[in-house]
This record gives sequence, C-alpha cells and structure tokens, in this order.
Amino acid sequence: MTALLEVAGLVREYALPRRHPFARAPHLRVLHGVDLTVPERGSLGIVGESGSGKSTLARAVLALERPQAGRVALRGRDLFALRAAELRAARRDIQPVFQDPYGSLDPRHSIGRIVAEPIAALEPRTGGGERRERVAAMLHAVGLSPAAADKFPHEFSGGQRQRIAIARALVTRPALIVADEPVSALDVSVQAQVLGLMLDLQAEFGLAWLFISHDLAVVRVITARVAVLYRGRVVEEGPTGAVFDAPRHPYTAALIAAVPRVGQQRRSAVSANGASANDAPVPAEGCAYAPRCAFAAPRCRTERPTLGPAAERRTACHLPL
Amino acid sequence: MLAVENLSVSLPMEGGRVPVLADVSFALARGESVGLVGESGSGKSMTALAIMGLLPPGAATSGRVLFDGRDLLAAAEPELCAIRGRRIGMVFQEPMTALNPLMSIGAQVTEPLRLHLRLGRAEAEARARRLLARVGLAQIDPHRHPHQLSGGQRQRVVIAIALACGPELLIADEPTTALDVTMQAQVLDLLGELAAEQGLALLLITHDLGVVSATAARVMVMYAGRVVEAGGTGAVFAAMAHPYTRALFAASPHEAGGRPAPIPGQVPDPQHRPPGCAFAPRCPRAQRDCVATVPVLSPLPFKGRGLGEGSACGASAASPAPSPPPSPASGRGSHVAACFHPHPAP
Repeated sequence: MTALLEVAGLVREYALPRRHPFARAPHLRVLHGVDLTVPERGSLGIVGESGSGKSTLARAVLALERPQAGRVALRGRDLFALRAAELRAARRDIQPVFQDPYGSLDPRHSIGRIVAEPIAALEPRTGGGERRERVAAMLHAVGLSPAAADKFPHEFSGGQRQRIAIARALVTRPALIVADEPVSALDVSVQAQVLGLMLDLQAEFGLAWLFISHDLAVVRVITARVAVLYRGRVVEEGPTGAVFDAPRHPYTAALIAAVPRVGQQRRSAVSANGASANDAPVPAEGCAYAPRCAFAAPRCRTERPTLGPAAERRTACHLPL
Repeated sequence: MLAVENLSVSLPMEGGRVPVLADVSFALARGESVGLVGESGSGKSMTALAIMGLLPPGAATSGRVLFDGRDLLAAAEPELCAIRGRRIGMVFQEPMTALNPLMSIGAQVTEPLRLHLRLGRAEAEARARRLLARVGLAQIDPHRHPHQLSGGQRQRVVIAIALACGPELLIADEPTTALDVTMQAQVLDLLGELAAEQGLALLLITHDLGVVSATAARVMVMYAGRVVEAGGTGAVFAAMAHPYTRALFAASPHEAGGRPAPIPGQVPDPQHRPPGCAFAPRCPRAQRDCVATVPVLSPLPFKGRGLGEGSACGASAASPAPSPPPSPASGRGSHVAACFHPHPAP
C-alpha cells in the first residue's frame, strides 16, 4: 500500500550572502535528508525548536519550494516531477493552514472569495452556483454561518479567522492538510475549540494532518505519530503518546522536560550549556546534538547516528535512553 | 514594594465610559513573583498598562498603585519617565513592535544604559554584551538589526533591554509565548536567578498555566476585568475553587492528550458585561444569585457554603463592598475566590 505522503531524503539549502563579490555564495543546509510518511487519514506531528527546519519542511511538502535533493510523493507521485498542470491538480489534495490568522487572509476580500480561492485557482471550470454551495458547506463544517461569506476578515476574531483558513483549506476536499503552528496565536479556550474542530474534521472528511508545532501538548492532542526534528534531521519518530511518555533520544527528553507543568517545580534549564538550537554551531561530523547532549560519548562526536529503516519506533542515537 | 489597591480603570467608548478593570488589589515584595492569568479581554494587560502609566488617552482611574511608597497613578509624566525602563522594566508580547527596526540590537540594549544610567559608550557596550550573553545571544553580532533575527531571538533582545538598568520590578506580558520550550525554560530560569540574586520582583502575565505554576509563587486569575481567584500557586492549582479557573485549566491542552474542553461562550465585551458575576453566563455552576450580585473575593475554604447549600454569601454581599486592600503582613498568600458556589476542596 502506498502512503498518502512520502517524504524521502529531502535536502533543502539556502544560499547565504556572498562574503565578497567573486566568492561562491555559501550555503546553509536546513534539511539534511528528511524521511517521513503520513498514511491516509493519519496524522503526523513535527516538533522541534525554531531553526530545526519545521517550516522549511512544510514549504517543501506543499511544493512551494523545490528541494535540492529528495522527493515528496503524494499517493506515489513525486510532486517535483509533475508538469505545471499536473501539479495544479495535485495541489487540490494538499492544502495549507498557516499560523497567523491575520496575515493569511486578504483584508480586502470577502470571506466567500477567500474560501473560494482554491477553487478559482485549482478548479477554474467550477460554476458560480457550485462554488457558492461548496463555500457555504465548508463554512458550515467549520461552525460559521453561511452569512459569513459576505463579510470581511476584520469582522472576525482570531479563532473565527482560523476557522475560515481551515474552511479554505478544506474546500478542494484535500486528503492532506499541512498546518504550520495553526493554533499558536489563539487564546486557550479558542485554541481548544479549534483543536476539537480539527479532530472532528479529520473523522468527517477522512483527512490526514501534517501538524507542525513547537507546542508539545497541542501535538499530543492532534496527532497519532510524531517526528522530532533537530537541526534538519529527524532524531526520533514513533507513536506520539509513547514518544512523549518515554522518549529515547536525549533531545526529545530535553524538550519534554522543558515544558512547564501545573503542579511541578521548575527544573533547571535542559540545555545545560545555554545554547539554543539556532545559536550553537553544528559539528561537521558526529551527532548534531552531541554538543548539547548530557550523555554524549566519544563515538557521538565522530560517527553520525542514523534513524534506521521504517519501524514502529526509531531513534537516531548511539545511546538511546 | 508594589502595592496595587482597588485599582479600577474605565475607558471612553461608544455609549459612554466603560469600566475595564474593577477593584484589582495585590502586593508584590522584593524577589517575589505573581502570575496573572486569564483569556484575552480579562484585563491582564490593562493591569500592566495601568501600573506603568501607559493607559490609552481618556482613561479614568481610581485606587492607588504604590511603587516604593509613591502613587504612580498620581505621578506626573517626568517622574514616570524616570521610573519606567529604569526601576520598572517591561517586556511586551510583540517583539517586532517593541524593537526599533532601524537600530541595531546592540544600540537598543545600550540606549537605556546611556539614557538612564548615563554610562559612557564603552562601559554601556560592555554591559550590553553581558546582557545579551545572559539571554543566550552571546553568539549574535550586536550590529545586527531586528529583521535579521528570529522571533525568539528578538524576544530575548527585548528581555535584555528590559533588564538593562537592573530594574526592581519586571512586568512581563507573555514574555515566553513566542519562544521554544527550551528557550522558555532558559528565560524563566534567568528571571528566577535575578529574583534570587538581585531581588527582582516579577509580574508575569501569561495564558500558560504551566508557566505560572513553574515560575510564580502566587497567581491571580482574572476574568472580565476582575480578579476572580488568587492565592499561592500551589494552593490554587491544588484546589481550584472558581469555576473559571477550572474551565481555563480544562481548556489547556494536557500532556496526557485527550481533547481540551473549550469554555462555552465568549469573554463579554466591556460594554456588555452582565450584571452579577461576569462569568455566570458561561458557568456550569451558576445559580440565580450569581446573576444578581457581583461576588467579592472571600477567603477559602467557604465553610458551609458548598454546592446546593444556598447563597448565604450572595445575600450578605447584596451591595458589593470593595474588597479590603491587602495588608502586607497578613493574607498575602491566602487563597481567595470571588464566587458564590466555589468548587469544594478535594
């Protein structure tokens, strides 16, 4: 059986400014060969610190940016091997929801036009009547009244805007929604509503979610499986509950220990040497996490651990916990 | 050091003056930390702005905000200017709007040192470098501009600026919301160290109950401009008495997974706050007395006023008296809630 989404060996580099006019532009490698699978109707969470490559991964999966190597296959078809028309057709199956419910909706367009945008762009032959019907159905599905179609974004709260963004993502009846921090900007109670809606929609529409967030509790609510990303590599992958309850990679353990919890005293910071993911230099060889790792052995500084073949749980660590 | 006494604020809106904060009282000693939690619109940020004297034009205040014995509400702007940024540091939620996009981050951290402390350039720059190192930005070139940093790095610059002059009080509005969990832990540790070393007092505004629990000795839960529950953080979270506190807790995603429970309805606009307890329309425990009178903060446990035992409290509080100002000596850590039908202690 082919998976809905299969990401294999994904490498993404960005060119940095040249140091002097005739030098070759240095490159920053953000993703170092990422492998991921999302089954039909499944849900995969991507967690990691800022700078881990989460959002770069989202853009590559959405085929917004071409990776330097690797493939992103939707139901077995490599998105980057498709011709423009085929890619447009494939985009109906894979839709985004972004973090900022203010920046992601055009303030001058009516909600009806915003939600219909993917239809206009990807299914241009759809008639006006059908388009309006589908917009109304999606607004209903996300808990908004059909009258919302005639209003404008400024008339809605943050939570309602995120519902509108979800309705827009759903309108082409995609198989996969790539959501990058979709509830991070929302107030707790509104966040709870939107999370509930996302779970309901998954069941109702047979959706799969690729759910990117730095909030581990939110990922636990939404996803069945989770991949932990560190400096552009998946370091641990497995069922969300099992990974969070008994992490095997020291980085996953550090992330989980850093979450402040009600009824617990503060532990001292996990990154003992004080460097966050963005600031610490990446070693040229060995495990990227070794400089921050409390358990690093000599082998960790010379030999890069690999994730290994697909399995229920896997960890890229020489000395898993 | 900071004593807020019966602080009320009203703003001019369409249709007249609208109260946005009502009767907020608390005290904060050196080295102490208080967490302020609640949804948007609960009055958390308004409380911070009132303390800083940064309320929008036309705001009317009553009560007192005593900082080191001076009433900041009555203080003139030059006096406030000497206090803000120097003795009281502020961290706001939006690092992109708090920073000047045209100034390098080094210059922005140096500015308060030169302005308030009148340090020389070299001394100010050395101190700025130490501050940036303290917030984990040692490897960042101070000549960079805000747009060249990530959101988390920008937020840490804002924190470095707020701490630059060695303030006695730090008012931090969602200081770690934009940060990764590991960076958040580091910033919270830093604030804890400063409290222990320099007696920094912290007013921490957040929606994250976990952050409050891990950082603040005391917590105040606000709803619709009023404090509805307050007390020692451990005591409050061990026996959440106000239904709103419980609802907030249930709405937060838990590490155990499971679907978080949204609070039905919405925070009422300041113009349309219901009479009586403002939470009553959303409250599963609301009874008739709740919509009639505003409950005042009362010490817990409420003896003989359990569920179904009526509204002795409601009758006695028919005209809501302002809650007594907190005396610094007594009752600082006592657990209080403004509810006629609080949850009994487990």
